[in-house]
Amino acid sequence: MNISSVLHILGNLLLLVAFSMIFPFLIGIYYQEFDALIFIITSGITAISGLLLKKFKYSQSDLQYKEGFMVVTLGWILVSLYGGIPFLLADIFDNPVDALFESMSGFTSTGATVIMSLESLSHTILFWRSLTHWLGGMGIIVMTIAVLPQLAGNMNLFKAEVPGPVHNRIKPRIKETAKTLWWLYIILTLLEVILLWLQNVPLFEALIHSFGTISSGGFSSRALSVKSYNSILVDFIVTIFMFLAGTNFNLIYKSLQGKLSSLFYDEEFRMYLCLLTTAILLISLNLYINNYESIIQSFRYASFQVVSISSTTGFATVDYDTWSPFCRWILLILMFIGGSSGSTAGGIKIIRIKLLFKKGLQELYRLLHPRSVKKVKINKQVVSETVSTSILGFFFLYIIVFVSVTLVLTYFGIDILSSISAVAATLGNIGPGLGIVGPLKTYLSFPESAKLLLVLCMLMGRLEIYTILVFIFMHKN
Amino acid sequence: MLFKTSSEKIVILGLNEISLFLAKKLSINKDIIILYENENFQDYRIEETDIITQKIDFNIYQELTKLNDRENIIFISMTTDEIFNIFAARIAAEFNFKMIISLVYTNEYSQINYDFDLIINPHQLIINYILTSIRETRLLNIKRLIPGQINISKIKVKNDDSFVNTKIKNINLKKSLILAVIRKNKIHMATPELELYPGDYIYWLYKKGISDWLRFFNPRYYKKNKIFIFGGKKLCYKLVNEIQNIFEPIVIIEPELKTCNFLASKMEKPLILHGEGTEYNLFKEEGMNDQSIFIALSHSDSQNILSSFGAENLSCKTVLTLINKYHHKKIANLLDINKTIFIPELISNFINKYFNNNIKLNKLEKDIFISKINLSQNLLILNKKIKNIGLSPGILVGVIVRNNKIIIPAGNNTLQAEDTVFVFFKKEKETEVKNKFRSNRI
Repeated sequence: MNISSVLHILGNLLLLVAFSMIFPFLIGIYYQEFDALIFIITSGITAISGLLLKKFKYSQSDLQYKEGFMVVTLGWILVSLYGGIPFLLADIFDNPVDALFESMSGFTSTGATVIMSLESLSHTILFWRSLTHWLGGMGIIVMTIAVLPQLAGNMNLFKAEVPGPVHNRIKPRIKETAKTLWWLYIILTLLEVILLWLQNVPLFEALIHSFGTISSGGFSSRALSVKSYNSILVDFIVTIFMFLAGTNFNLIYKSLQGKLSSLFYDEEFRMYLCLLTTAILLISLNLYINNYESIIQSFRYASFQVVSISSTTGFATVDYDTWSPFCRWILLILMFIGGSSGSTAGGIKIIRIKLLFKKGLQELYRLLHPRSVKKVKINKQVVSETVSTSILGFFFLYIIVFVSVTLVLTYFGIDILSSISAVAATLGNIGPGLGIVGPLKTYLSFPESAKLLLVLCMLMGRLEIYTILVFIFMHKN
Repeated sequence: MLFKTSSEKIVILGLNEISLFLAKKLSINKDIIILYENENFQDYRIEETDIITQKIDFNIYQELTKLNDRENIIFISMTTDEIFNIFAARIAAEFNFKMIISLVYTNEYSQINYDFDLIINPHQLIINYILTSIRETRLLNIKRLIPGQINISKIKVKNDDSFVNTKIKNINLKKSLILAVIRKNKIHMATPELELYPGDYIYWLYKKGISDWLRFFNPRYYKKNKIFIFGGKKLCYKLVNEIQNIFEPIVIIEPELKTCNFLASKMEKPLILHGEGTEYNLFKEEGMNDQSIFIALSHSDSQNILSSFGAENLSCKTVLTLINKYHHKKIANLLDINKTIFIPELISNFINKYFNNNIKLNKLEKDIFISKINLSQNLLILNKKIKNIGLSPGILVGVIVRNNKIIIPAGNNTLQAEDTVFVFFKKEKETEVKNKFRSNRI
């Protein structure tokens, strides 16, 4: 294995993170906050570490898939470790586990927090917290591929960070694809910032919420999240952008090119729409019967919460933990399913659920007609046996990780619902769950070891399990 | 004259089952020369048939220059290699032959304009024959003829239909058209005053869309005959593509797993089974009965005959068997398998009809035909409302294709030069259609 090249790329990655810390510094200067200095220090530490690692020799030809997995796993861990330093220096946490939890939650666009009072934080820290979402949402490795010429065309790195079942490219070259994705990401973010700002949301908060929406992260600058604006239009704008964040970016790009029909020919998008519509209708009806007097109010809360959970953003406009078990069960199911492939959303992903469903039907068909030959297809394309098996494997591992971590959490004395939802929310990169980790609560009460486990869950969820497991077992082999 | 020879010669390129059969049929009243490159095909019938066979060199251009009196020669390119057929026919097109005919198997290749007089697609001939045999040919042919988003359905008027006992002019047809009404086995072209009664069958032409979705809720559009297809590979694939929206369910039995995988990857609706044509238990398991249609299309005559024999014994309503060798046809007949498909026969019949100018118009029903006409400049009917062009009862303009846009016209629509129109007419109105839509009157 070419460790030298791996360390060299990690050095580049840290330099990028160091560079990104300039933005919170500038925010700190603008708001004349002391925390700006913290980012000068952290940026310096990160840059020096990056430069030291960069001393190692890089050789493009030696970078195979194993090195790809190593770069991605170590890259995400390193970035989260360095990203947590400002929280420690700003004295927000007194133990590094909480800082790592917050940082990993930010970069993996999970949105789970261990901070009790957001209003007490400086603009600088709030901005950094949300910037980690934004950087991690599209993928730090994708960003590195887009920026660094020496990594151009490295599909091993791209696949390790975006390990979904399909790899549709917008452009023929991977570097161009990464660049286009980032441009699209920037445009969508700016659009949301402008729209929120036009609705009288302060510019800083519009930026924070836009970072949280497009990355499907969910970090807010207010303890009450989007609820604090109490505006139907703000809810509507955020819902639309959460929906877009959960949609395959390739499809959004094609639609912007005028190929709107591609949206409706895409099976995953159709299922995404169908799932959201069904969940919204069922929850609206249930809320209208049990909780709210007006159907419009029921629909407003149901649609925001459903899209938020399904796109794995995690914003809330209401404490859905007080809703009926029926509504919470639907939300829990959506936590597992997640958004579309090629989006910033987490979870198992709709395309995998669709494939699993089709695979199930195929087996049923085979029982009815033992001699039949039937292929599983998505968008009229045959899904190979390798991909089907990989998805079955992914599902199995997802469930195994979920069950095991839930078991450990219950050992710590956390109630079953909270344990289940905490693991679902971190493994699916959603953020808030149910029970003691409900939308208006935090993960602060969890023991340190439980938090570390959830940090691992966030990373596994973001890198879709296989990358981490390959990294672990690579050394055993 | 003492040494008079027949004035018209036919030169066939390629010696094989098809060309030999065709030569034998045509040799009754024409001189036939078969040019061939290799001697792989040996058949006793070559000696028995009154034809000249001539081995040629690889250079087809040189061979064609050797032919004299080319303006009296019909050149038929009929080798087993379709690309070579197109190539040879295209070279022949540069010479002054009386007529050029080529055999092409791929649909896409057969749609290109090579400047040949006739392109024969054997697979399409087989499919047409099958469709005729399973009695859905008319609608299918018309659906194939009219491009794009147009559909024609034959539906029965029921007591509870909203348009029952209503004159056609009073029915809100939106963007659709009633073409004809069948009442007590008598066909009537649709006229505004015609009233619809329960039990009538109507031919309804409409744009695809919601009406197609409605078919899911209205099973009367679907046929209940289960179709079983044995083998056929590409041919099976083409056939299923033509019929899968009309017949359901379709069961394909294919002996090669690789082909099964290919078909499964290309098609969604049919049930594809990996099995032999002689596995009668498989037929029974999948519900073959007296309402089923069985079509054997594999490359093996013995498998086709045996599987059809099994299907006949299971009382299939219709059994069609593809035969590749002429003498196997007789064996099939001995086993009471009477509906055989023999490609050389289909092709020679088709060419014969073409020579005799006897290719049928597309039919909607017994006496109602459809004609596709490109409207040329200077016709009297141009730029006038359809209701004012004086079409007599029994002629209907069904569809207008204008700049790739499809219009189902009403009386107020006008016809323009360069339009392609699909005209439905009664047999006795054929001359009037020709006069109005084709003649240059100025």
